[in-house]
Amino acid sequence: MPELILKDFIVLDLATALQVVLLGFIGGVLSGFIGSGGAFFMTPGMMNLGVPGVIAVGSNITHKFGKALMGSRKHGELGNVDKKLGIYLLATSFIGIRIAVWINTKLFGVADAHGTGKGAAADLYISLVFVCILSVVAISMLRDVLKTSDDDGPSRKITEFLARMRLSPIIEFPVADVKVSLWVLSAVGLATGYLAGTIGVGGFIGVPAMIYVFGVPTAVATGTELFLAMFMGAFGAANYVLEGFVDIRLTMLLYLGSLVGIYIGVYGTKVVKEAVIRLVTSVIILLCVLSRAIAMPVYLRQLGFVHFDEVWDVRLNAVSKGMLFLAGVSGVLVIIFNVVKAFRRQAAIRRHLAQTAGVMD
Amino acid sequence: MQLVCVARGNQERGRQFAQNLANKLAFDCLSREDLAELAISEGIAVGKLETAVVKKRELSEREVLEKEHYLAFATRVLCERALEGDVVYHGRAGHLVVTGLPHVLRIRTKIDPEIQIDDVMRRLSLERAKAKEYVERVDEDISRWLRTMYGIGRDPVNGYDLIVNLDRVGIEGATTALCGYVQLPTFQATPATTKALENLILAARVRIALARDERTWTAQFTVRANAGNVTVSYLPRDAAVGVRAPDVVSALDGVSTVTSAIAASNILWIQERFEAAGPTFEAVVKAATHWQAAIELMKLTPEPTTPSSQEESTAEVAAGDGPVPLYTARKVDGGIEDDVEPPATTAGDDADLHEVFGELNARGIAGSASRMAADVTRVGTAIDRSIPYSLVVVGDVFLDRGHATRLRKTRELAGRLGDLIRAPVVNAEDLGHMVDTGWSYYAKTAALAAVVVAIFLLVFTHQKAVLEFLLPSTILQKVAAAAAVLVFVPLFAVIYGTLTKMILRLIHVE
Repeated sequence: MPELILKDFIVLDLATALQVVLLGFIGGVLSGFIGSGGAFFMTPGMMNLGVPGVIAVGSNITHKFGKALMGSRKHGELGNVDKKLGIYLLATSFIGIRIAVWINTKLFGVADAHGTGKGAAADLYISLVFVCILSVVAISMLRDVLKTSDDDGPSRKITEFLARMRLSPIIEFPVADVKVSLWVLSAVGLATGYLAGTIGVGGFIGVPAMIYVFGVPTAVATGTELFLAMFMGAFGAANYVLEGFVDIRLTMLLYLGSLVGIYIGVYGTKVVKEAVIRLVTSVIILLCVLSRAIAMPVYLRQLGFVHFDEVWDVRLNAVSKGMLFLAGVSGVLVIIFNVVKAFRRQAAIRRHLAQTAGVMD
Repeated sequence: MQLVCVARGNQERGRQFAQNLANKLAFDCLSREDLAELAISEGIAVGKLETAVVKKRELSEREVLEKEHYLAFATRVLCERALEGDVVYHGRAGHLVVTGLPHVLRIRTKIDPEIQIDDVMRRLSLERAKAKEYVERVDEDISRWLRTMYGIGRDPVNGYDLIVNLDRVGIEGATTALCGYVQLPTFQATPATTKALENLILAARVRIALARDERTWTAQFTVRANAGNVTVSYLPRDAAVGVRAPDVVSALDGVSTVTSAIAASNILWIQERFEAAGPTFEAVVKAATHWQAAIELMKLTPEPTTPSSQEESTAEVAAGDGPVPLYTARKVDGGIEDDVEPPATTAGDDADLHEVFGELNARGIAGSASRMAADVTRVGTAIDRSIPYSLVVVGDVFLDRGHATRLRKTRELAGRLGDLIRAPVVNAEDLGHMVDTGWSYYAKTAALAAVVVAIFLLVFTHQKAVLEFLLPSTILQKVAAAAAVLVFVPLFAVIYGTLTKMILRLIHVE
């Protein structure tokens, strides 16, 4: 167990702080590159550093709040935010977040018969949701990469099916140019809020749902999701602060790496092919899922559901941590390799231009 | 003089359709395969280009030169045939071989994949699975060929005047219907199209001569011709070879003058209403002066809100939708311009364009000016991809639309241009930031860095106190903690985010 500075907050020595910055950077690069997410790397990464799961989620959702604010502002300038759609989704997502925080808080207090293993139930629950949801996302994404050709747009089968059902009341959203049933809206909002509150990864459900279920253009889905994430982040952060589960130091250190990483990740999307982006993303997510699955027996042992030598906790955590870093670092290296290549190409163009200017003078 | 281009991919029925159409119209029929054979007989290594595409590898520098040679050859042959008589050309993407001719009828044939597989099974005596694999592989190769040769993806709809569904209407039905369609005035040759054909032929002949001369074959050139006046432009890295171009081409038949220029770069500025005194104007001029680039202006005029009956029909008639040239400086590609030809039109609506062009010309950085309808697809298709743009600035466009729609359509336009042109596409505001790296920029960066450092010092030297504040026990303390976090976090994110952006911009990562 790491040394604690106060209650459940860990002592941050320089090495740990740098590792959090690195987590932020890797999460930021992945987030900028993939368009949503990053939390799937940062949350388990912090848990591997000894941060209790619920504090990792609380600090990360607070980090997400500021990040989403900046992203939403930028998307708003580009006309990608359907505020009406965002507000409808928000109402139900707040309920989802509240349910998630309530479950996490209750589970955090659960210990085994001897009073040990506090926090393990919440860790196990978070890991379980993480593994289930992200496995589905990564496998769907991988299937999509292998099946889709360049000319294909997103499938509209679900949208058309729901449109035929005409579940009243139907609401029109002019910016996104879609009409959606209030019932469908509520279900998606609830699921998005619940996942954002549980694992800090709401976008992985919100964006695909808006594209495939509502039929919203991709850019508008991303912009609206960020608008939503800003409020959900604020609401989630406030809730976790009220429960005393936000470590603002971790949030600040995450920003230190993530905001640099985001710009580099976004730059990467301009120089790497679309199919490669989705392939890299799905492989990274799958490796993160595997990493979390490896850590789950530790929580099961701490809760007394399985029995093995305590020394395996350290080993399994080490393997889990190693796999997570391998996934993140290798993904980031692929992205940075392409970014550097593109950067050098641009530098060469600038040099040519400068030489030309010299010739013409 | 008429030219019908059929994009039939690898469809056997598409080939039959084109031949049948040529027979019915009594036009000459030329296929991509004929063209490739002619090129091979002239020593052009078409096979090497095909191999590179099939093997999914980037073209070597030598192959890039061979590609330019082949494209110029294809243009010359097709245009010469079109000048001699009426032609039906059919190929993988026939409409791309010659661009810039308004009277070309561009047709794409479409066929159900299952029928195509049946055709391949019969033609090549293959099993169904193998025939399917064959069709898919060839389709992939064709898509890669288009990307390699023309730098664009295989758009199923855009760029064509008509899409003919052969499995519904059949070859006979389609050709019969098209015989009448070809007679439309839009697709008839005029003195202007004849002139355009002659210009294209001359430009292609000049490019071929440069590719075959031992003094110049190693350089990439862009050639334009206008009534015997030839402009040869080359990249800065080819400056040593490029200067020899006039010696190589001045003796060619039909060439009266040769202008040779380094294609430093061009900046394309797209806007609906131009102002010679606005901040965008200053930012564009600053960038052009900095990069020694010429500025091309493209004025977009609002789209008609009610579609005409012609637009409502399934056939997409796009001929004549290209940009209307208004003013052209003598040297277009990156040259710093002095002389301006009289405007081709003096419409009152273009007074703003005229004023800005005059201002740019006075500063020696005028390129050309044109006007076209504000349609995302058409603008994208109309851009000349052979021009080495260093930057595309999309200013205020779609002004007749609502705010959100305007932003979205502007972004769509910028996105489409970004896909088509290998140059940064920015809006006017971004451009202002790009060139603004003076002392005030450094001072702002330093101030933001100081604020960030101060916040970190404050929090990390008082860790325990900060965490105690975040572990509230009373309701009032909880509310205060939540309010503090909700104010502090976005503030910090905005300050640090802005600092990061500014630093990365300084090192050109943006």
